[in-house]
Amino acid sequence: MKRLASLVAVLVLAVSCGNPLAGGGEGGATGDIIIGASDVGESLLLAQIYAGALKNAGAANVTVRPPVGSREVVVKALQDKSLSVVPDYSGNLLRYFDKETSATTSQDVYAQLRQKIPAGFEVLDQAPAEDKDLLVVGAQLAATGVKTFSDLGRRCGELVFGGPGQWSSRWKDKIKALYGCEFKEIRTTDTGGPVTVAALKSGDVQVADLFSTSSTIAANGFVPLVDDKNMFPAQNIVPLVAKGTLSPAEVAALNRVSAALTTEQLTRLNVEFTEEKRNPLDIAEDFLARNNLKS
Amino acid sequence: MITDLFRWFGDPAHWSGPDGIPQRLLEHLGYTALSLVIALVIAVPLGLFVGHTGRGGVALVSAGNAIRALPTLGLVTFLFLLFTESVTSTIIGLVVLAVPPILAGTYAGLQATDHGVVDAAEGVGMTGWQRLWKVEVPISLPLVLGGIRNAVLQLVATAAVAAYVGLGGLGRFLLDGLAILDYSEVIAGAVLTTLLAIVLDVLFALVNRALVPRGVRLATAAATGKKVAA
Amino acid sequence: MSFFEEFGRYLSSANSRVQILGDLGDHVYLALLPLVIGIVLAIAAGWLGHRWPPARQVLTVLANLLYTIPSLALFVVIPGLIGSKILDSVNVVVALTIYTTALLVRPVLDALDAVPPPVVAAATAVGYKPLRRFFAVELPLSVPVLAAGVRVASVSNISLVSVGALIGTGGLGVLFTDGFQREYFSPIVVGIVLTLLLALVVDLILVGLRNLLTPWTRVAA
Repeated sequence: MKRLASLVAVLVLAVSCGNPLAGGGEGGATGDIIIGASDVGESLLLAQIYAGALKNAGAANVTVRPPVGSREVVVKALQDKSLSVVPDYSGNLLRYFDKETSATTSQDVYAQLRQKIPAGFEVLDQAPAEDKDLLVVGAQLAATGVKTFSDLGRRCGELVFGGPGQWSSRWKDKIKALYGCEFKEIRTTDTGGPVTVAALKSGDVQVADLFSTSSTIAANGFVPLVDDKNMFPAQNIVPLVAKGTLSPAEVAALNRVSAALTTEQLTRLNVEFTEEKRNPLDIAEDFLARNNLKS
Repeated sequence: MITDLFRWFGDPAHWSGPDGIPQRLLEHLGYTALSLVIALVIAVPLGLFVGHTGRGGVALVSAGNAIRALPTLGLVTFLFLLFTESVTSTIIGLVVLAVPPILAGTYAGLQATDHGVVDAAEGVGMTGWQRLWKVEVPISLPLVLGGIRNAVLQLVATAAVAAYVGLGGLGRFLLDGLAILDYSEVIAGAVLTTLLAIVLDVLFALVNRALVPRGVRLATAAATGKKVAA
Repeated sequence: MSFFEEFGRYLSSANSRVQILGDLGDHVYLALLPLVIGIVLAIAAGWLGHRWPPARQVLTVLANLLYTIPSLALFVVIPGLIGSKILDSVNVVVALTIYTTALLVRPVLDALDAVPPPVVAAATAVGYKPLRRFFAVELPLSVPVLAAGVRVASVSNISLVSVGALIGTGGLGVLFTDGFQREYFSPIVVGIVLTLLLALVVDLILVGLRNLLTPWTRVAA
């Protein structure tokens, strides 16, 4: 019985004295910066780049959480300070806070975003880099004369669409209003990931929502359609921050990162991540070094 | 939260169409049933053979334990990358996870058959086949059914996870709702999946009641000292 | 490039190796803490059920019910129930503790049932009060049966922690979601192999512990 008791005591001690995840759950303590990522592939890359820049600027306790769901989850996490910073996309972020907005250009979107953003959040400088939603079709469908969203609008009724779960609530009405498009079926695949690619490749869906910096479009011979009436707004990469979690020096560091991030660079980063399969930390380190963002 | 949940269930839009509850429920049952049948075809004969002849028992148990340790998400994502098709890869994954419990149950059941009884059967003049089907199988039924029950629960739970690689079924409510923090959808998915598991479990208890001979049930009860309804 | 070249490349990055080890550490914590807590809770519940038959009925039904809840369903429901933050790893710990306890209540009850009445009588005769008797006599005798249940629970926990990746928790599951998103086999293979190895190592340790705690079973007959 003594043996049992001492064994239990040792076990409990061993397991409880070190919670390797203690820093991850709450972000309350000042100085703890927790960077999150949404479920878009490059989001994790950007999170690692932010983390590297912040560490170089002297921030002590910076961690990157694994990717979690979409904007809804991320915003909630920022609200309860489970996360401090998240890389986001200006256009969709604005639409999240103001569904009726008509801003489409980079400047307009950013200006409105700064206005409309609720208390408790702030956005830092936006990057020139953009990663927009694209509606893509397979080469066969494109060959039949579907080149723009307007072309698509005429054929929607016979086509199946595949995209992220929240696409329907965000865009179904808009695409109908602008292009008269009502898909035969809107199917949930994933957020520009392998399920969507596989579905489009196999023909299970004929139209898919992918992202402009993603390397899978070119790699699979898909054809992006032209958004002739500008349904999708500008999507500049912009850090979304829970107010009060970053010091001025840290803010400046992230702004320097944004200034250096162009669409070509971002596309290149995506290729390294998805095609060359490099480790995101390695990619981030190289990016920071390349742009002289190492202190 | 409860009121939101009731509102979600009350919304007729959630009961129709490809995203509706009936469709998802049928998909989930379909994956479970198909995988179960395939797993039974593989595991039961194997378990009967090994249990009856006593050969290869240790290897079987070890292999079964190893497979049980396979992480569900890992297996499902691995198979998807291999086949780039949600349904095929998921069914294979489900079958792989369902075989060990059924195998273990069948094998354990046959092992648990009292050697004295088997000897008596041989003494009475029964052939190998007769011994198997008239004596060993009925006696081992409780454990075999127990193994199948575990497999079914495993299948229902794993099929929910498979929504991650694009599969339909009740897991869709869980993951799609989680992605946009629609808690009503998430909880609804959790409730539906749990209800399905419970209903199947109760069904199994009934099947157990119906199939297991009264004599065997009474004998098991006497051995463990528990009361059982005659 | 071939799978092996890709695999070598994956492991050649120091950052990858550090991340993998970190994930492994998280995984061990998330799987074993619920195991320990679950054992304690199951023993307490088992003692309760053993002493009071009505409690036994309730506990058995409850345990059966809880164990039937599919893993992902339980993971997502916990934040709502205990008010934790959605990204908190405590959700996985609580869920797995529930599973472990539910799984172990039955073995504890069976094991306590199996303690020979003469032994219990002798202990009482020698002067043990019920609680002391429980810890000094009945519990140690239950260890073999309990250990079997704990071994099943540990394998189950280790496998289920990776599902937590779907709700944003750490552990080896992160390797699966990463590999899946990038159509990259290597992390997935590493994750599966490490999970299996972890299960094996923990199982061996548990067998060792069981033997340590039951020296009488090793006395030559």
